Amino acid sequence: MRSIDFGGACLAVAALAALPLLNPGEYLLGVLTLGLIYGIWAAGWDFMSGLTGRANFGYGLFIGLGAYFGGFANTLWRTDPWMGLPIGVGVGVIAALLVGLPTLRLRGPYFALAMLAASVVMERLVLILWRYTGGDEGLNDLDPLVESHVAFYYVALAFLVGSAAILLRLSHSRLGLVLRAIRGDEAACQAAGLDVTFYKIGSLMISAAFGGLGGVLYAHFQLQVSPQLFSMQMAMAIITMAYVGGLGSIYGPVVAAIVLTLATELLRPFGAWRLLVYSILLIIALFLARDGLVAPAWQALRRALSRGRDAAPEPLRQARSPGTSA
Amino acid sequence: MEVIVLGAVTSSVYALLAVGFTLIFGVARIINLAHGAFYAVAGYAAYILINLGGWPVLPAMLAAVLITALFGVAVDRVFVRPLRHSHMAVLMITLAISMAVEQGLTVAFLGEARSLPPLIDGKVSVLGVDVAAQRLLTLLVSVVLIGALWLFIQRSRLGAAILAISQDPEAAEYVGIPAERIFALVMGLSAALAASASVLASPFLSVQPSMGLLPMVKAFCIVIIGGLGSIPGSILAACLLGFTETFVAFHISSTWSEVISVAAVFAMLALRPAGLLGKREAF
Amino acid sequence: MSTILRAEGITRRFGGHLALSDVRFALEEGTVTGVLGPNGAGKTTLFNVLSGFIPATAGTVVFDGQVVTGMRSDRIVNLGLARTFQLPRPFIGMTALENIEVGCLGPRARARARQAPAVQAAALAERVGLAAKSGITVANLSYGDLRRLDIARALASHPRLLLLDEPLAGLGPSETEPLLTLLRQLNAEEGLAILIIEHKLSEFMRLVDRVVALDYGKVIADGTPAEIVRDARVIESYLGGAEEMEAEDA
Repeated sequence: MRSIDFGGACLAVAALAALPLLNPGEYLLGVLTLGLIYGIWAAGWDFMSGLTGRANFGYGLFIGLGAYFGGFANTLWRTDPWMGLPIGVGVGVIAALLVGLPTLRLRGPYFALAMLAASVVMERLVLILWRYTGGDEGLNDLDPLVESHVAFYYVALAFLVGSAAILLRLSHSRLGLVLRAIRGDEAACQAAGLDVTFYKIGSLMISAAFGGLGGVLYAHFQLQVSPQLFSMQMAMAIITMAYVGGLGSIYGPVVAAIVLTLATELLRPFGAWRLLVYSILLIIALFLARDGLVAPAWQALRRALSRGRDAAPEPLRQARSPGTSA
Repeated sequence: MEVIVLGAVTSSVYALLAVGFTLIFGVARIINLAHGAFYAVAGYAAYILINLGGWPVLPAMLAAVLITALFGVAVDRVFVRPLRHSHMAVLMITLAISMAVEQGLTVAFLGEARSLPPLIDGKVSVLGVDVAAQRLLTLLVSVVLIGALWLFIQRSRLGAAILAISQDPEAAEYVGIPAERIFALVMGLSAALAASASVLASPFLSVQPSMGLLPMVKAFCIVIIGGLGSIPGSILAACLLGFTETFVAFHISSTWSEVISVAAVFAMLALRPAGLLGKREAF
Repeated sequence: MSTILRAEGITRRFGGHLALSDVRFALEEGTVTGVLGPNGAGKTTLFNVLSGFIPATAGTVVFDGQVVTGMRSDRIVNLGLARTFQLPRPFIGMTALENIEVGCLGPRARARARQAPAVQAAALAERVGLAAKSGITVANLSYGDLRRLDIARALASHPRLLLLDEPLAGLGPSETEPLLTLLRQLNAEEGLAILIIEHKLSEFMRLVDRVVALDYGKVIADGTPAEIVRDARVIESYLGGAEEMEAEDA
């Protein structure tokens, strides 16, 4: 059964790796690269919010902080762009700890509200501190991570594959089991002797690490950092990808991120239309496809495939697929 | 002196917003992320009626409040009710609605800031300070509205039903209070309060698609500081924040106001998560 | 024998309502003690306070020589005081085995385990009689299975004292006997102390060594089952009404 998952993943990665060979042109390749970066974000968001069921409306906080600090490192301190990556990860993790400590030890809506407020305020703060952050203009003239667009595409692909592999691995580990238990019933987790707060903050820090990583990649891809990274619209797009992909599945949001980025890029000239599409997609997903589209589609496909190979079902693995309760 | 008068005006607008937000939480246990969208819808409804429909200012504003209240009821009926079993789904749907409204308005009105005419022109001298009459009217109407809400909840039968549901939803259901109808009503009320804040404040602020976001974030902050679900707590926190903000705006700069409120929230959550007047453990 | 748990004047107020008032008792190691009382007497509130799920308004709980009042509930579990819930609380969307495995991941369970959590969970499933159903998602388990699942998850932390809140409620006769046998075994073989709330009186009285009777949040009697059934106050507050209940059961 696992071999089908592995096979599917290899096939998908091989297809993505082969795409530049078709000579798609710089523009399309750029859009694809953006999709890969969104994939890292969607997987990172899903790891915390999809598994534990704690809505995070301020994921832009981690993305923006990662991108800005990566940008500062590059433009102010003239460090190598590659050095920005660990900086972005570190900044994301620290921010997660700072926001998580006061809010995640509480039950109820405090985390959701505080994350939203924190990202909105950070966007304001960037504008207020324009002397250092460049205000609306943001940071410009960053060094590229690698010279050619094709090379950057492969760098982004490598990071996406690595991130998704790590997050998938973790979500099927004991840590993932505990996080899904937290989504089910926090009090029962405590009765099982688990420090729920510790696990929630830990998963937020892991989630934020990938937000920061993607932020730095994005900065060195656009060669520019702007305050919109902190915005609700940013978080909203990522949340929609996770919902369309299937909460808690990690791979679903990754696929949805790539597909949606490509699809909505067609709407880029219309700016607002693109975000309107995301909001409407999210509403539709909430009502009509509670488990998303990508993950259930894959589950159905692999059932069909495995029925072809041998008839024995494996209830245990199926049960680990994301539940219906959000 | 100016700080006191203007601080009171700011506080009253915040209180209108925060009371509606905390009311719907206290009764239906919903964090309504579309609260900011209500604020924006009212602003645009008034703008359309006045500038495109040629309505006089007062009827247009009353109609805008009514339209927003109906919008609130519709949001509750159509979108929130089917998802009520999951907190995360309710959060998501209200956020999606608020984004859809914001983006829809951007598409329709190109994102430019518009302005509303004031209900009354001119300046009034209060405590030796010249204040725009519209601001003073805002303060007055806010106080009256919140007082009316208080009376409604404490004195009327419907208010008693609302209180009963907020204290014990199961028991309320048991004695035959129709919870879903009350939730829709409260959502409408909450939207009407946000709409009133909007039509009162828009003449001296402005109307734009994202106009609801920052006021909503302030409403969160106020509600957390005052204690989730506590109406007196919200009013107290609104005053605290309104005066602090006005004071800071006078002496330092107005741009820091959101930063201050969010910093206050984090301090509050770290020290006293229940808020100033909150007793109840959140859901 | 030494004392494993001591309740010293526990008081809990909900608004104007006094749910527990100056509750005092002590539990000896390795004994089975029952909490008796009519509905609303404060039994579940007592469990919630003892296990740290809600704070006490006043008073102290001493477990194994350590004051645990005000401690986080998961810490208390990791000292060896585990509990089950009045209504079973499984993790939806997971299999029975995974549910038990979650219980095996706490620090105390990890420190005492000689095997991997999954192996340990399988052994516990076997122990409570869920081995055949360990791969089934909890949505498809019977009520009795869910009760046993709750107990298995609590046992995973290697408790020295287990609080059981109505473990027999909702079970048929065919499910009741095996569970009682299991509880007796755990007590006899592993020296597990048990504090139990149960409304099925005949089973309850046969299981317990001692009874603490509560009414209106106060301890009204404390003694052996034989003493309790003769206690005038207990009869007045509870047993009178309970006979009707027993009759309904039959």
